[in-house]
Amino acid sequence: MPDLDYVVSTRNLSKRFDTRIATEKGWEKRTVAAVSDVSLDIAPGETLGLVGESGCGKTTLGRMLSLFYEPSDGSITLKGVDVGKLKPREIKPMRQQVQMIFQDPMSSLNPRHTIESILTEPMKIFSRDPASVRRKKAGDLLESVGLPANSLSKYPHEFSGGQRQRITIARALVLNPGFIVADEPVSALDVSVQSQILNLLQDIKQEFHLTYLFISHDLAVVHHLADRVAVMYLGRIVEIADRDALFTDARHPYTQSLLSSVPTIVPNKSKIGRVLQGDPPSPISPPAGCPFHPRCPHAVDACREKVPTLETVDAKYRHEAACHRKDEIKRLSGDST
Amino acid sequence: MRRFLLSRLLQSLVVLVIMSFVIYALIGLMPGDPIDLMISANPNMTAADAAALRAIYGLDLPIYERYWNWLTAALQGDLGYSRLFGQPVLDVLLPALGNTVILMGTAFTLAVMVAIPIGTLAASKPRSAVDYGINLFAFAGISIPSFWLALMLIIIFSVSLGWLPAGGIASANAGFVEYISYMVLPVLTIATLSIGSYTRYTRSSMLETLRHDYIRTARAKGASRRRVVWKHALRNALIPVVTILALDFGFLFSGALVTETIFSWPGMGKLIFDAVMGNDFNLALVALLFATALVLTANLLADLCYAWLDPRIVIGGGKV
Amino acid sequence: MTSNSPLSLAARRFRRHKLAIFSAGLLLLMIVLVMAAPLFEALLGVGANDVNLMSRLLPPSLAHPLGTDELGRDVFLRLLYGGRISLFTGLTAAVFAASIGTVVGLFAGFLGGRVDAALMRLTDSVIALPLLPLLIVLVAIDLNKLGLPQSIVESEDVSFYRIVFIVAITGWTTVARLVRGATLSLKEQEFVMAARGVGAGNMRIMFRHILPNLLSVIIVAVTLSIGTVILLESVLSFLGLGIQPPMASWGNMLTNAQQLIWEAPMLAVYPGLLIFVTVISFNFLGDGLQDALDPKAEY
Repeated sequence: MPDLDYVVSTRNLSKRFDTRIATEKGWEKRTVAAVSDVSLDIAPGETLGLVGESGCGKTTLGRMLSLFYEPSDGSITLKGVDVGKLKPREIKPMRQQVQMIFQDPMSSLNPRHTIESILTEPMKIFSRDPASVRRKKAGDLLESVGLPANSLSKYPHEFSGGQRQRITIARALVLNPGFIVADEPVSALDVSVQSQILNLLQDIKQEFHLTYLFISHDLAVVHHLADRVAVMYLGRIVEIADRDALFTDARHPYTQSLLSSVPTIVPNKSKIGRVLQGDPPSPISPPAGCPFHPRCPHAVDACREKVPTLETVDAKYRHEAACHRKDEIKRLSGDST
Repeated sequence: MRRFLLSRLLQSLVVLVIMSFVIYALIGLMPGDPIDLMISANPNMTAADAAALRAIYGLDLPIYERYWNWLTAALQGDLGYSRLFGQPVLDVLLPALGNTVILMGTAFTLAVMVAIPIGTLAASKPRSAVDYGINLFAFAGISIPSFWLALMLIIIFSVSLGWLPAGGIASANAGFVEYISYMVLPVLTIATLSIGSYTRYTRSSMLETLRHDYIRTARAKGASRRRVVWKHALRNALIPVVTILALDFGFLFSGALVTETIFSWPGMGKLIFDAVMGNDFNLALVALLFATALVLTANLLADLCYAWLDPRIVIGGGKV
Repeated sequence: MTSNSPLSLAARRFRRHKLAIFSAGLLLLMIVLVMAAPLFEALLGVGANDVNLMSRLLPPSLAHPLGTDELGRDVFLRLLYGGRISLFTGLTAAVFAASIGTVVGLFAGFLGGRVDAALMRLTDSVIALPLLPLLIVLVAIDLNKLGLPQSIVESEDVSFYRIVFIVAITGWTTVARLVRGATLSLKEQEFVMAARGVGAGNMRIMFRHILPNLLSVIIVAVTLSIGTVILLESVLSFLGLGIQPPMASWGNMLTNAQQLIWEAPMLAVYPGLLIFVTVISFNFLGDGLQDALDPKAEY
């Protein structure tokens, strides 16, 4: 049972959505594979950064891990419990183990609720503490995210974006979860407050002994925060490794192109999405073989036929990559530059 | 297209069957039953006689069995006798149905012919004095109590001016002009109620349509504003209006009931009112069902009209 | 004092609607007047239900500002008391109707799928049916046959309860549609997912999280439906099926007036005019509120 060494583990995790697309013959049902065959482990106290272009499935993966979406295939083990196929009633107690911090603090706080009601609601649902205890705990939490405890009676619109994100962080801490999924927690904020929130996330990680899945499309932010980094492309993890190994010894051409386009690790100048030519293929009709081959400078016939699986590059850094040519890629890209 | 109409037809039938049961059950809850009425007519009847009669008429059976008996008889053409009129229900009903269709049809046509032009006019000059005036008029139309409007029309045109009859219907051998003179006030009453809401729907739908790109393109190509509004936009603006009109026939019928009662117009509305008030169970039941069927048929016709206006409708369920 | 809370923004937009503000003032005045009815009774020295056959159908005078009716009762006082009943019935029935509509719309919009399809089919059917004839049957049913206790069936207020109930079970459809539409967009907001994330169930999310955000939609819907409700109440009372005499309502005052239309046409003018002014004021007010609270909606 190696799973118990990890806070969360997934095996062959997939999520498909049924959708309708417009064609010449009217509406047609199609299936979109948002996440395909993802297996990963996150160790206690670790911060796993998850990067990729928008639409690559990183938010879907994060929402599966925070128990919002039910997997189509595969398993999720959270604190030793297989949560993939739980019924809604059985999921409820597991919500104390994982919490999510949302991207937009504007829409993730109910505009009609006071901060007190936002922060005490989880306690009302899960504990029998009297109101005075709940209120005290809510005030304490506000202070640990850097807001005065007397903000409790205010409404969300009375706060700035950064302050609101502090409130959502406090809400995520109420139930003392061991694991927090942060989905682009700073990308909706002004640059000036981004680093404050990132530092806050670092601080509370120590104080509350947290494990993070940190989703971002900003490589600099990930470099700043993550211990390990996973790169996602079209629903699949194409490379995963300890941070420094990934940033210095990338083996997947997609990772390489992401990194080579970031001359300096400076926040906001390092966002993925402007770096590659062309758009990623549509997940409604993904290419055969390696999903990256249409944009890959090194693609060979094998890449067009067979989907590469994650294979170990260097066990010491838990470095794995999903590329048929991962062993020769260094030389290949060296030649081309 | 055929599938769309078939499914609509089927839906209407289902609603009709459900409503027939609901109405049957409600009528059963009205005070007294036919036997009570017989008892009051014949003081010599004993309680045992009454119980025996109830058994003969099947009134001691549970409601769903009584309903089933009624339904099978009705489907074979036996709708029973009207107590108030002493005639078969159908003989009373059909002339009333004809009178109501004439009244409602005329009022509806008038309402549409007034509302669509003035609604379009208001939308073509938004925020102008004309728009403001039409809007006020429309608000007045939806806010005026139908029966009061009827009374005011009577006060003005019958009591004060003496131009038009205050109620009733022309005798069978009367001329066309006399026939019309009895129709004017009830038709005006019913039409006014609907003109307000129809105008507002037309105006907002037209404003919405005028925002679309193809309208701007037509304008850019040099078509005059008036031409764009009346030639290009009107047909598209009418599509949502038709859906709303379809839902409005029930309301129209409600208005007709009040109006017919006040003007003593011998239509379905007055018949239903008299039947319910006079404890004429058979007549009330069948008349209500006919009224429901009438409204559902009107809805179906509106659906047809909708499909004709909007060729994109292929299958059902696309209603906004 | 330029706060940017949603409420103060709405207040600023509302102030642009002169007609709505005027209507609100008019309604307020009307409420004050009907509340002060006993005061006018004392002032005029007669009761609203005092019959005096010696002074039938008198023209307006100092003693009777709007004259007397066929039983010699003071028309002005009866209008005030009738206004109490009509406004109170309208408000109560509209609140009940809005409650039903809110629950239906909330469940349909939030749960979606088959629940939504079934509830909306029901709403469409209720809208499309010829309601007034059906309501007449509902009014005519024998409350004893429903097994209600005798004390209720024979109480004086039974016509009031009945009319509130009947109007409520038919008047909820507009609210249901508006609430469903608003719920559909609200449930996509991230705070709904956040609530689920902290363990909230469907009921809690619907009633604690979505419902408070529907407040403005519901206020608009209630305001707009009060007009419809008052019209319906007055029609039924006019037909002799609503509020029963001697309790006065604007609707049943017109019933008698119809019989006297040749002798005393003014008796038919006053109550209807008051209904008309009240209903149109609520409609203007609702329209202004809708524009203020939901600027995207174009009625």
